[in-house]
Amino acid sequence: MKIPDGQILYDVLSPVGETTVDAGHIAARLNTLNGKTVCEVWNGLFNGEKTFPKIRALLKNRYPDINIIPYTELPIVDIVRTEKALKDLHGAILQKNCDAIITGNGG
Amino acid sequence: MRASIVAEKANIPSVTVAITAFEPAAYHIARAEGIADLRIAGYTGPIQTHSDSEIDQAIEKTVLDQIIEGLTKPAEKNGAKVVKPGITSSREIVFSGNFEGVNEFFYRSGWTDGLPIIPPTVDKVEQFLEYTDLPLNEEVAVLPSANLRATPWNIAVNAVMAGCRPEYMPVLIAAVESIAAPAFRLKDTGTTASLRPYLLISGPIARQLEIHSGTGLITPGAGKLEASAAANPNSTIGRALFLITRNIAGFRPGISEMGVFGLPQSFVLAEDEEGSPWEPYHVEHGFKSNASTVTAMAYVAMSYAFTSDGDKADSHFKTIGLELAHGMHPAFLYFAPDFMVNILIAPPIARVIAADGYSKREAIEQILNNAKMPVGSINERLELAFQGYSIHELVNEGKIPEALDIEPDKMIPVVSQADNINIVVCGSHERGRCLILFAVYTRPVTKEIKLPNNWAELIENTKGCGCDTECQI
Repeated sequence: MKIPDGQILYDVLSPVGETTVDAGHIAARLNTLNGKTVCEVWNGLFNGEKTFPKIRALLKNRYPDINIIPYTELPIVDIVRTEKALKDLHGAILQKNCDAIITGNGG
Repeated sequence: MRASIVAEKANIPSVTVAITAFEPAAYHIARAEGIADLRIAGYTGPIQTHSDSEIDQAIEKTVLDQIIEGLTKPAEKNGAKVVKPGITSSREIVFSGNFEGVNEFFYRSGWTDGLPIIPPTVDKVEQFLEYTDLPLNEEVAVLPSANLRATPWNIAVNAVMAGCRPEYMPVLIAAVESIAAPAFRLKDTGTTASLRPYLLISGPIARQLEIHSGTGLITPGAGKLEASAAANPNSTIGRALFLITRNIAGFRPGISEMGVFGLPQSFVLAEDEEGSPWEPYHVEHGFKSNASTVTAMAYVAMSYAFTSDGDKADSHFKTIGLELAHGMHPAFLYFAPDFMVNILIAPPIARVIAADGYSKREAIEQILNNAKMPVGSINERLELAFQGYSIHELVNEGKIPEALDIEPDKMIPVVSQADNINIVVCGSHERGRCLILFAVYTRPVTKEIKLPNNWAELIENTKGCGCDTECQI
């Protein structure tokens, strides 16, 4: 940038906070959903009671041997008691041997 | 998407269904939690108002394939999005230029509130650091949603930008500690409904820094011009808090702050300790009278400044209770007990209430008893806001007391516990008005302001307008 004569030049600092978390990556993906246990996790919002059954039906149609555990059998991770729900969820997805998770709905 | 983060960390592949407008927020939160390439199945359009057939169509045509791909395709072949990380070196000069150039650079970087900022130079920042005994790189807190580290250094950078005076630093450090407390739930302030933090400053420092507690205290620039003409503490501390939530906590509109309409800038309140008939807020909450505190609060909605007349406490309880009952959406009960109501009461009303023998706590209980609505009316609005919800459901979930689950025509309090209500005495000395600030998710968090050892000397030297030469007004 060209600075006109007589103007004050400012060397300025960033206001952004320092990073505390290293970027990790997602878990290894599955080769197929056939024969796998897929668990639904709902946050109680944004028409999940309609979207999950539809997704469930379509997945079963495409992968006949898929095993889907509906959101009614896992903790609802709502925004009011998120921390406790997330702790409960961790135990539940291990206990139910979930191979994959579908969560929703963000909105 | 927090559930997806739990799954990925447990080595279980996941995919989050979210409306496409929410995707940036999901990536942002996942990155802050250490997941760089979260899988999203984007739903295009307003899922809340779509018909059943529109939902079915969207799932079938676009969402399903994204779910399958999200769970089966390896990350490196999927063009996964990686969010830019925060900086790691706080002393780096990020730009050199004139005033306009600095402002353009900062604005384009998303680091401002859209208004001009004071260029944060090393010299300026170091002036601010004289007002804390903390080492410049001490971790004051890690602020969600971005989970970036707040230090005296970067707090000072934001304070300089906001136009603060250096002596506001101890307040800002305590403010950062307050908003970082888990009970405040800063991470949820980017909510769809919008939740804006604000501060209540209590104790001797409020007078030392001339924090305005009188007429128009929420209005930017209100206060005594003859006292501290170089900066307005209410406005600049509020602005600094806003910039900190943007630059250190990482809230950006449309990316991580997802309010449908948003809310204005943060602001600062001070209690009118001389005009109040009750003990100051910080003493009421267990701090010594000579201590100074910052209380972080937040609001999603504000009432109008309603009038409340009369020389008897009962009429004020009825008025305030009625305004509270009608102003507070019953959906707040869904969030119980994580909501709060902060009632600003002008000194003349507070004095009438106190003259009739009521402590602040007793006044809160009286207001609560007057803030009632019929169960049926609450149920109707709950059902519309959250399909299937009712007082009965809330009682079953243990959110509200069982005694509230009664016949539809019976009146029940809209706030189930006095602990959810605060009173702050402030505003005009001569007019009987009140204003109610409503909030969900959050609880007020109070922290003591830690002053540097040489505070008395520092504050003495900073009296006046701060100009190098005599001020001309």
